[in-house]
Amino acid sequence: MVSPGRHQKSAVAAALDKAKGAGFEVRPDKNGHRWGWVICCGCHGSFKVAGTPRDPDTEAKKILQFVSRHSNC
Amino acid sequence: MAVWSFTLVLNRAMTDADHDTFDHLDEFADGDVSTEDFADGRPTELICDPVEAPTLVEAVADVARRIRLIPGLRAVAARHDDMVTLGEAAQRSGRTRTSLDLLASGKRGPGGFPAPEWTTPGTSFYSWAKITAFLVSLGDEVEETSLEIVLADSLLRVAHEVENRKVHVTVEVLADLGLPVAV
Repeated sequence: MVSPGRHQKSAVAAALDKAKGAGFEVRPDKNGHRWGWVICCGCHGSFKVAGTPRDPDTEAKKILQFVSRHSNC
Repeated sequence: MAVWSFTLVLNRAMTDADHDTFDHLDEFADGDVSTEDFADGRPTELICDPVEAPTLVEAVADVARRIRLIPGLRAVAARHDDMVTLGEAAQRSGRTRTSLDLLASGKRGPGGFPAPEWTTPGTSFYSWAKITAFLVSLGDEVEETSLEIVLADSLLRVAHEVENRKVHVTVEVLADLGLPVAV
C-alpha cells in the first residue's frame, strides 16, 4: 500500500525525497499520465513527474538532474 | 535497440491546456519525455530520456513527431545537457561505462578525472564539458558537442523555418539538394 502523496515507484519516491531534502517543492498533482511536479523554490521552474514511467530509475535520474541544474538558483 | 537522452526546445512555453493534452496522450504514457517549464516565460524544454531508436537523429525525430500531436507545439532545437551520469558520458564518448568508472576512481589513467558537480547517495552528476576536456587530454578524439546532436538540431531548425515561411519542399528537391531520401 503506497501512502497518499507518495510515488508508487520506489526509485522515483526516493528521488522526490532527495529533491524535498534539497529544498525543492514536491507537489502531487495527478492528471492522466502525470504524477505531479518538482518546483525550484528559487526560480520557480518546474519539472513534470510521470506517474507510470517505464524506467523508474531513469525518471529518478531526471528528477535529480533537474535538482542539480537548479542547485544554485 | 539503443536508448538516447537529449533535450528539445519547444517553440513556446506550454500552457495549462497543452500540459493537459500531453498528460492524456498515450504517446507520452511511459515517461520517456518530461517537461521543464520556466517562470520567466522561456519556451518549455523536453527532457527526453530514455528514447529508443536506432540513431540519435531518429530518436529526436520521434519525439518531434509526438509533440506535434499537441496543436501549435513544435520542437525547434536540440541539445545535450551538460550534466551527465557516467553512463551517459560513456555513450557520448564511445568508451565503456567500466572504462569511465576506472578513470573516475583513479584506478586507471593519470588521475585528475573531473569531480562530480553534484552528488546524492547512489548518483553523481558530472560536467560533460569537463569530462570532454579530460578525455581529450588523454588523446581521445571526442567532441564536446556531438555531430549527431548538431545534425538533429540543424534539421529541426530547417523544418521550423520551412514551415514558418510556408515553403513547399518536395522530396525531389530534397534529393536534388543531396539528401539521401527515397523518391
